[in-house]
Amino acid sequence: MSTMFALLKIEGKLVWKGIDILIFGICFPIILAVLFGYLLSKEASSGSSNFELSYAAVITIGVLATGVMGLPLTIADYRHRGILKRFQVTPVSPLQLLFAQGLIQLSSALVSFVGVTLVYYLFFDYRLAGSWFMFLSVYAFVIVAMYSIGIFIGSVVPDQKAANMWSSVAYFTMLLFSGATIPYEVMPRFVQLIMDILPLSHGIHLLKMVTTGEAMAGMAVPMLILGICTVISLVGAFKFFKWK
Amino acid sequence: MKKAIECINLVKKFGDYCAVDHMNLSFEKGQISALLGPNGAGKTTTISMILGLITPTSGEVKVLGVPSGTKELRQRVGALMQDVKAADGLTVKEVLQLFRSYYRNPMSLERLLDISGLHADQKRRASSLSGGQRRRLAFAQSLAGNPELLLLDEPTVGMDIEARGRFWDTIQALANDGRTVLLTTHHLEEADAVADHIAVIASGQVVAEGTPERLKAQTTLRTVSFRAANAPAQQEWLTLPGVEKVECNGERIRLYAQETDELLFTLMQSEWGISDIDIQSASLEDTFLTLTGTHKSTTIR
Repeated sequence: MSTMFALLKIEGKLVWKGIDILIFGICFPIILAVLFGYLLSKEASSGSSNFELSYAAVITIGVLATGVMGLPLTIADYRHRGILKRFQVTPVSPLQLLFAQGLIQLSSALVSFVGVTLVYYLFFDYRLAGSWFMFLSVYAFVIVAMYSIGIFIGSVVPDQKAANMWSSVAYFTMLLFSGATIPYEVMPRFVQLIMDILPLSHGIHLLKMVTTGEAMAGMAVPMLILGICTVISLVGAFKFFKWK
Repeated sequence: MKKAIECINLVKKFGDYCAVDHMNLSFEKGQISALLGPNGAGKTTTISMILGLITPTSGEVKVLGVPSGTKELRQRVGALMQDVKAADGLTVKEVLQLFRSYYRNPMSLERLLDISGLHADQKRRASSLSGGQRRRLAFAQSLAGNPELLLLDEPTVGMDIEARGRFWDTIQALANDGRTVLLTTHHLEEADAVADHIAVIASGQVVAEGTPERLKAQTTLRTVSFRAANAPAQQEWLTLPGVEKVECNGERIRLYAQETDELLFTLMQSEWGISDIDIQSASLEDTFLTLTGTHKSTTIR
């Protein structure tokens, strides 16, 4: 049994046994998808309907839960238990452990994505207007950005308490004020200005453009903001990572 | 005999604080060696540098003939650290299987379970084990790679007497297999019983090293205790040959001296009514206290 396979098996068991990921990462977005299917208007007065726009938002909830909540909490827990320190004296790099953990969290996000997509497609006749390739590429980019924020939080927090606090702040702020649950379009203008600060707002904005098949011209700025956020987070994580 | 570990002029500073101060230390292959020292002496810093976890400020560490901390070396070295817990939700068997998967030539699961004495608990969650059982599991994890060299930092903390006995038997058996063991411990009597070689460090420096017997012989006083029916004034005991310290407890007198032959002869010749004589050699604990308490004046090279 290869080391990575063993790590994936064990990390998968640990993550999938947890009820948190099931509730926040999978059930919550699927339930929200069903609610949006019934509640949001499918009439498109100009461009896309509110229901069509909501797809781009709901598929980010699983990414947010796993990347910004699950990943930093696990890193902080492993550090607290001395597991990262223990790995430093084995032939396996602690980075391999974190990579395996990231892949397993990602698998949960993808289950959430598939579940939400099936609800939209099978129960509410949703159809993606843009290119699937473009959509999946942008979705992958948003995942990388959100996971880099989670890795940054997990890397710099001194203990589990701080990890809990900062990941909760990041998770709930972006959940409520990025358009993931409450549509950006219904917010007052001054709240929209605040929402524009949050990285996920730009991710959802990008996803809305590619799911509705809008022109590519408006993508440059959100892409640049997410790219900068990713680079800063990963460089910061690499520079300030605490093994113990 | 070849050297398993060589620390050459090793220095580690944390800011202005010098945790390890020009340490020269070596441990032979195939031996059980112990690193003793009071809290803050630099034991864990030294072990961490040997493992490659921290980089020396200056000096060099060679482990099994190569610089410490390489990935290849980690295949050959097992380590038991302090304050390490297993992940929640994993069974004993899963923890051991996971660690076995990291190595090219792992020890068999059966042997690891035998060594840890956790055969009956292999399906239990590691997080539900008692403190001593967790320590035994951590010990088995350190052996998962079938290591040539084993570094154990306070290995018996939390173990009960029976588990400690089995642990030391296992260490002896591993050494008999040709493996090298370096441990730190606070149980001096255990180090005395099991170690072939002991290095005592204090304030980041080696203050003495050698076999337990050599250390005890060179560094500590023997005690002669007896009853004296007509004891003289206390100061008079200090004038006797070799006597360095006196303790009086009623009729019971205890004299501390390097050499006891001449002292005994003098006592028996005296008119102080000496009876009930008891002579004791120093314990390793006495040696340890002597060396680490006043190490600058008692350094032995």
